[in-house]
Amino acid sequence: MFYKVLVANRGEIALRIIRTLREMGLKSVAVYSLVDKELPHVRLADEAICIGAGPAKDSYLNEKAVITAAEVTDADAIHPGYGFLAENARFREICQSAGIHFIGPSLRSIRLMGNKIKARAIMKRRGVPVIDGSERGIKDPAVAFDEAVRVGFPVMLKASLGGGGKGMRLVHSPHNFTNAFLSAQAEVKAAFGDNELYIEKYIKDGRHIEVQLLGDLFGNIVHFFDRNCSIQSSYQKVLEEAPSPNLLDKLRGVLCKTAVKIGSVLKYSSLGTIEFLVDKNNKFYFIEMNTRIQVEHPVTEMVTGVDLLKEQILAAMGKPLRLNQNNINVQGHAIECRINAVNWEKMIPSPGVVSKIHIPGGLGIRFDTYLSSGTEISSYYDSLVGKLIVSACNREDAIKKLRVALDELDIYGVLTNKELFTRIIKEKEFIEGGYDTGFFKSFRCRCLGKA
Amino acid sequence: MKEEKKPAEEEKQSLDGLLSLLKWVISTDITEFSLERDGEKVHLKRSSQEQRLQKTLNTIKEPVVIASPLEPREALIKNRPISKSMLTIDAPMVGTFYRASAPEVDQYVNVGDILKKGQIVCIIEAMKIMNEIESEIAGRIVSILQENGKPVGFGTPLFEIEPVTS
Repeated sequence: MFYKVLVANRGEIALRIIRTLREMGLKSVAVYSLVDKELPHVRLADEAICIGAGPAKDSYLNEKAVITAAEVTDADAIHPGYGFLAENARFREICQSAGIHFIGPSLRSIRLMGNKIKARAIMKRRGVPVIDGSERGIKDPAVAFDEAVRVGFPVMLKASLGGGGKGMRLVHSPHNFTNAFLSAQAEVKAAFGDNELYIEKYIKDGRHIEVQLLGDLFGNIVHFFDRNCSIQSSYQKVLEEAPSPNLLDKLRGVLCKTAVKIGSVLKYSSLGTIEFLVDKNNKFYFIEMNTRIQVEHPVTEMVTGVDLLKEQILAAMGKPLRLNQNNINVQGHAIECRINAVNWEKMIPSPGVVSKIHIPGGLGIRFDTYLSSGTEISSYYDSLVGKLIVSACNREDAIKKLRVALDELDIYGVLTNKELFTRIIKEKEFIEGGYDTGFFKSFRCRCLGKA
Repeated sequence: MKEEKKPAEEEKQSLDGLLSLLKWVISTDITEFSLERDGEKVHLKRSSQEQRLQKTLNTIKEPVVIASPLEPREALIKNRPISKSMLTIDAPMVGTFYRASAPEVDQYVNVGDILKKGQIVCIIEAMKIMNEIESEIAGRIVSILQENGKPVGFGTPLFEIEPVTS
């Protein structure tokens, strides 16, 4: 049993976690940076403590400050949310030695799945298909070039300690390989302090389909079916839906079963996601596992009716799962749009003060946000400002509802990508549901051509 | 027999009268006041209102908050007017504030002390490490804004300093 939980995050997810803690009757501690003093998570928590200056490395990524904040406020657990310290093995270890519960999986799971090359090796050994690619991490561009030739162009470059699309590059031909490799290395070095990359064969027209898992400390593991996250801009998810449209039931069954198998092998004891790539011929490959709550978790919540965050906290408290696989069913359809404060045409952030906001509402409409009139969107952090989630009895109705909700959503004072979604949901390819990871790029080109 | 006032009682009455007179003086803006009566002489001299306000501020001690130790404290400090001429030494990190290196030894600094730049003023404990906090400014300590052994956040004002120009 926890008494007081420190929420080591900001923005919409901090608010999401604090709401659930309140519902569960648990005390909450918010941490914040100097520039986030006025955000609602600071106000809604039972206690709040400033942990550093604006830049994330001084505050939300400052392991020492976060742990100390937990110690001085007598918090007995930390919820890391997503991003920041959520998949940081060293932070997980510090929590352990400080005697503070980390609401997430074991250190071993974070370590194994955090290293994408190790994760691929484990899957391969267990007979889970992985995309053809390098077996080891590579730092030398010459070695990498030979490996790329062996795998065959086009290839994907990815970071060994990957995440957030950092260091990902699609390289079509040998003559621009070395430049791409070096720039990817520089990006990864800045993000993770390590410049190791690996190479995968590029699979064209694939669909990104992931399965939500939940495990407990007693070896029980269940899945909450799938989400399709194929609409991506520069390897960042933009729109997600559950269940995945146009996915054969048989394949869905195999993906879910495989995900549970992976969870069991790892003795996985928290919320996690197995990401797969499904190609045109319905062959699937393991991409990676995320050992945290994900941004897009609400679409699964809307179709299964389960508060995933609450179950994650209960599992961390050492409670056995309350659900068995037979009680978990999908009803209807849900879609999430990630509302970012960006100039979507130029793809540049648009920080500033929200002068006025109107949030849509009604049956089946959920808007997870930290914004209200007057909120300042800081340039220090991610541009995600809200998640518009709609659910209805089927996909067609969900799209209609999304159209109405988008129309109603008004954010003044900063630019947002709302218009982008209004256009996406009118696209034939989207309406038919057969879109793949190539959709967004060609759609965007069409948009800008017309605009 | 006619009752005679006892001398002690008489003195008390005269004192009560004087007190109410003084109360009235204090309620006004008068800064100097003299009274001569029956061989008694009273002279009252007060500092200006501005000076008085500053003095009151200087003696404000932080309240002990039990229920929710952090927010009210921060709210209090934020709302408390610190004179423009005053500087503060703020916590450079989150942690527990200690005024001495150990319970049995002397506190690093006290109100009234003249600080040199680089002088250690307190300790902030973070992750079992005692971080000695040095003053980045020189001046006289006017007040100590946090209680020994209590948590402080990043940027929480710890000491109020009156700059000393030499």
